Amino acid sequence: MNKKEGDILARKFRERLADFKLPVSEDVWKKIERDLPPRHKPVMRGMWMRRISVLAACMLLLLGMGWYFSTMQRDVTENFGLTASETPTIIEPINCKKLSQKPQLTVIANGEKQSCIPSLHAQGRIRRSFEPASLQRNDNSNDESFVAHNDNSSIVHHDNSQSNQGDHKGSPLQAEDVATARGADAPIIRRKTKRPVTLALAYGNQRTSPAADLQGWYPRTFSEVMTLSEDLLPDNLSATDVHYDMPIAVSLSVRKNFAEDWALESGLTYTYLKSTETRSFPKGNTMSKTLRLHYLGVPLKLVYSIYDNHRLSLYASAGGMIEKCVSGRESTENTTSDLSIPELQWSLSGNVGVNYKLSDTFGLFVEPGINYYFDDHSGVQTIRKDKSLNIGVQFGLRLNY
Amino acid sequence: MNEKDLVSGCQHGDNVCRRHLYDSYAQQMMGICYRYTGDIQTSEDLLHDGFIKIFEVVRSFQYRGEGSLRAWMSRIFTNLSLEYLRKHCLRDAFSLEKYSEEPLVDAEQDLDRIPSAVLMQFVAELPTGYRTVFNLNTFEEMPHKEIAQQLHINESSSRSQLARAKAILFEKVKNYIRQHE
Repeated sequence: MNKKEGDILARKFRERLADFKLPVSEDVWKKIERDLPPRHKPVMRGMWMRRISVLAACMLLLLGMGWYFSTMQRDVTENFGLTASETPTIIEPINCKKLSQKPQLTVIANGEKQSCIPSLHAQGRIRRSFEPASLQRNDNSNDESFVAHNDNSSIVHHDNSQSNQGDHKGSPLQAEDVATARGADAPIIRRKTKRPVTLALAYGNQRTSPAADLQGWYPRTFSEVMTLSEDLLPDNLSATDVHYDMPIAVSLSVRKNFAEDWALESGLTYTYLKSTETRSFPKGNTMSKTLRLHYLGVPLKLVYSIYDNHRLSLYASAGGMIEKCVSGRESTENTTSDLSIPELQWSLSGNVGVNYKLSDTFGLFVEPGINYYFDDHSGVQTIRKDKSLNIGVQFGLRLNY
Repeated sequence: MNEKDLVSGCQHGDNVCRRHLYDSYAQQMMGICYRYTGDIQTSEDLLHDGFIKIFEVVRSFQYRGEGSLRAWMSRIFTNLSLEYLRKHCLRDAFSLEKYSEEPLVDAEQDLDRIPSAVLMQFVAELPTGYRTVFNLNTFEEMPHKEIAQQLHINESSSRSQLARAKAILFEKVKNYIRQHE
């Protein structure tokens, strides 16, 4: 046999026998069936780990939802411009014949009356004050003036719609007056101390300082001030509503399993934030400002597979994200300006997700979860600063390859 | 049921899919085992062990298109067969024997006349060492260096084993042709 014959022989054997099928006795399958490994029950494996994961995820979700909805009820137009340490005391409403008809707000500093000024709204409801800490308005029906404000002052608000304009017309209300009024069969004075958390939240809803707040809202030069009509001049007791649009996030992520049930996920996330602040003034004028921010972020998550079958998989994930504001724009009715936020936004998140496999390659998923955003100390107010704990739902298409 | 679904079902322990996979590939895998061991009973034992192993480790298998499942299973059965041969048959299986080396008139044509089952029988009847080297080189297309590493023999020994295996097969083919002329 020469080499050529040897090669032909090998090739022929390979062609004829590579897929050669040999009959198999039925006994073989019976033995295999007997010795088969049990059906995989992924839910049963690592039961405690999975239970704990699910429980933790659910608790986080519930806590987040509870917190979210409880804070949603809070009027975002709470007083601000005062720090929590100032702990203002509000008295409202008061019906006293001795008091003027106009609702009044009296500022008492160190126990002494400083001024008496009209209420913000006819309803006698104090909303958000735009009064800078250093200024107070003194409005005695015919006389308006600004007086120095003491940091330790407290605010007394009177709604005396049924009162006449007697001896006390236009006069400031003193603590003694309040006491007298109570003793003189009229009105019950309710003292309400605002919750620190509310104040702190309201304060945080603006820029980092009252001065910055004014700069953000009002013309910065004297000439600009002069161009405004009197009606639009900043009223120290104006109020604002802040409306946050639902943040929109689009992400592209990659998930890599590093163990049977564990995976790391990262990618790129784009987030769009929009908020509109509307400032109302006592004379009915309003000013609004819209803030549009575009963020790019890189998340990093640890993903744990809780359950997996042909069609459905359930998983929990936890991790963090670092984001950078790549573009920002602040616009009012007349002006638009770019806004830069150099600070990075850090956040933590916890999610549970369900993935429905359309095929081995494609799947649809939905991921409810909670996110906690750390203060980025940027001075720009966003929904993340106002509500650092948020719940959210992500849904999308997953590609497996 | 396509292969993807079959794999997915086996990965989740679906017994219907397991049976389907067995029915689809058992005879081919039996052929591989028999080609290596030359013994039906041993091949069936290896078939049993191989499928049990496949069902245990199928979760780690990633389907990469047509042919990938068969290639993966073939590798498992080949390795099982080699493991069996190492333990039981290969210690003194590489002694060289002398065979006549008369040439065929037309090797290609002569081989085509022989049924596959007979060719398989010829391989099965080879001495274990020759058969193993022949299988690895011819069917797995393994170079002699790798065969030597796998079987813990010298590379030259692998070459001579292959040459001897081919010579024996040649002889058997010749005899068969002669008897059936």
